[in-house]
Amino acid sequence: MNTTDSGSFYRHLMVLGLLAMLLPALCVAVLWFLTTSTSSGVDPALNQLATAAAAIGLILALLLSLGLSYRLYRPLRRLWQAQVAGASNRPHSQFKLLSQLDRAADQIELTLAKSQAVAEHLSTDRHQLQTVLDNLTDGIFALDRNSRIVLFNRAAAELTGLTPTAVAGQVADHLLPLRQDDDLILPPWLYQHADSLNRQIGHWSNVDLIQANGSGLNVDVEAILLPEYPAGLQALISFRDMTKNRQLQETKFDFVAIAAHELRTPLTTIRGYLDLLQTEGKAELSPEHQAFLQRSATGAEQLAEMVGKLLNVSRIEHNELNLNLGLEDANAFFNDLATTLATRLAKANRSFSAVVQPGLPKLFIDATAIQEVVMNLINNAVQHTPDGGQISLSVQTSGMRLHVTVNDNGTGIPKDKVAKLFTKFYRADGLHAQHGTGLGLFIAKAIVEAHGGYIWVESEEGKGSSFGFELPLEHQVAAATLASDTKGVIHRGSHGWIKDRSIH
Amino acid sequence: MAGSKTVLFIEDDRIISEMYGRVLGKAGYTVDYAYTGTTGLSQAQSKPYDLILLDIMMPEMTGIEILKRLRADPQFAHTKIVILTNLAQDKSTQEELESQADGYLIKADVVPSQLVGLLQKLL
Repeated sequence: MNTTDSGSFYRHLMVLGLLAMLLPALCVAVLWFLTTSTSSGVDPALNQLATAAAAIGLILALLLSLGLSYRLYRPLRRLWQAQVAGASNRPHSQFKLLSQLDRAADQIELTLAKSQAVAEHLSTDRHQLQTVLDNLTDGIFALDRNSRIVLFNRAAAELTGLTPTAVAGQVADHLLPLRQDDDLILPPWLYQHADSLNRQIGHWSNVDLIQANGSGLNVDVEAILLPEYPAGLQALISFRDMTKNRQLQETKFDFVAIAAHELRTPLTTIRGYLDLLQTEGKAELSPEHQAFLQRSATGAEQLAEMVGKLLNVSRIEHNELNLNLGLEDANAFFNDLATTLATRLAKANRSFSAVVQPGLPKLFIDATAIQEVVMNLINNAVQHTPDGGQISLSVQTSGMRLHVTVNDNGTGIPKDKVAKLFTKFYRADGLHAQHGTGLGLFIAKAIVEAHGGYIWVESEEGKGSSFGFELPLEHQVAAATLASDTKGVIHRGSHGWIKDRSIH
Repeated sequence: MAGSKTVLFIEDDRIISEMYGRVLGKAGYTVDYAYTGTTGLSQAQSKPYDLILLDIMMPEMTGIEILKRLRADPQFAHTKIVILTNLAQDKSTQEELESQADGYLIKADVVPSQLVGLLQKLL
């Protein structure tokens, strides 16, 4: 289409229109002149010229009319076509733009809907997270790089008696004092690990938390120090109210103590009178009856030992394991022990051998307790070996440690049982297991570790086992100065202790 | 027996008193019995004893209480006092007892025939 402006377009039309109208008029005028002129004798050549001119003029006029009408016709046609196109939705250049605008509008609407959906999801996620945080029973709070509280869940508020608004942005140290044995645990730990590149995790149990109203809670605390401080966080701390648990543990501990005492009372009478019968009745009782008495006595003795073990376990769990440390001549100690064991194991029909390294240094140990450890290991060996089985004891130094090993050539311990060996209720499944509370190894481990030592086992099914423990020897010098006993010589055993006044 | 050692046995369970008292008597000791804390304290004052055996769980007054009172009295500063009980003690009480008493024996772990041997270290 001619894109010249509509002004010139219309000018053209006007000129053409005028010409189209004037020329026919002129021709008609010429023709009238001719018809009137023939009668007045004008030259016939002039007539022919005038006729030709008039004819040409008429043809031109016709052509002009055609041109004019075509000029008019084209835009009219387009308008008509556009109208039709609009009516039937066929793409048309003018409407292409509109439909593109329409599509663009659709896309904007879609994007807006998506953004809204994302925003809703974020809101739901955040809401979910908040719900989770607020329904946890553990108190959780987070600190930023300046040790200010930036997160404080509902449980934390309930447990401490502080409101989230009161603590927001506050420095945690004095607002939330967490103490273990009177020492503040948190700021020191954070400073200690502040430069660490790894995520640090700290656990504390038996922590005292003073609530806003002044009363105290007993809690377990776990803290995580984040090395790269994402989202401005430095540390996450969670704490759990263990007050009821601790009370329950106390009740349990007290119960065991009372139960032990109650059990021991009739046991005293049983053991005591059996003993009297055995001593005083030798003349009157047949060997068979004496043997019966001995069986009863042994049973009662085992019962007494069991009560003692239960009490020990309870104390170990309550961190009340009482070690009576003293300076011992290791060679004398182990040689005496070996002699006792030789007799016992002969009775139990096991072959026994002992190797004690000569020239051992003095040991700073609880002799009764270490004896109990060795006894427990030997008992364990007896339970895992058949009649005639071999058990051996070896005592030697290895660097700055004393190694005590009990070997047997018995049935060994299956690999899947090894992990549970030193736990509270491990029981030997072997055919030879006669009796035992399953507490012996647990107690042995506690005693060895209380001495700063380490207990282990190596076993192969069908071949035998090797149980051992090591005791550190470094403390000897320091121990020697501690052992100056102002109380006098004290003889200790599983039955208690008694002072020796015969030596001055 | 002239010059035999004297023992005061403060224990409320008569069966147990008799049980241990019997072997002590056979070993040559002279044994007096008191079945309450109060009687025990007054008995202790009545004559000098070489050894006082003391139970803890007693009505009216515990053995620990009696021990404290005895040791507070200079008259008994050198009397041998051994606690004979079935009660286990916590660390702190044990340490205190080690300085105040001369022995601490668990009855259920000490049969009569063992008692004399143990006490001989003291007497």
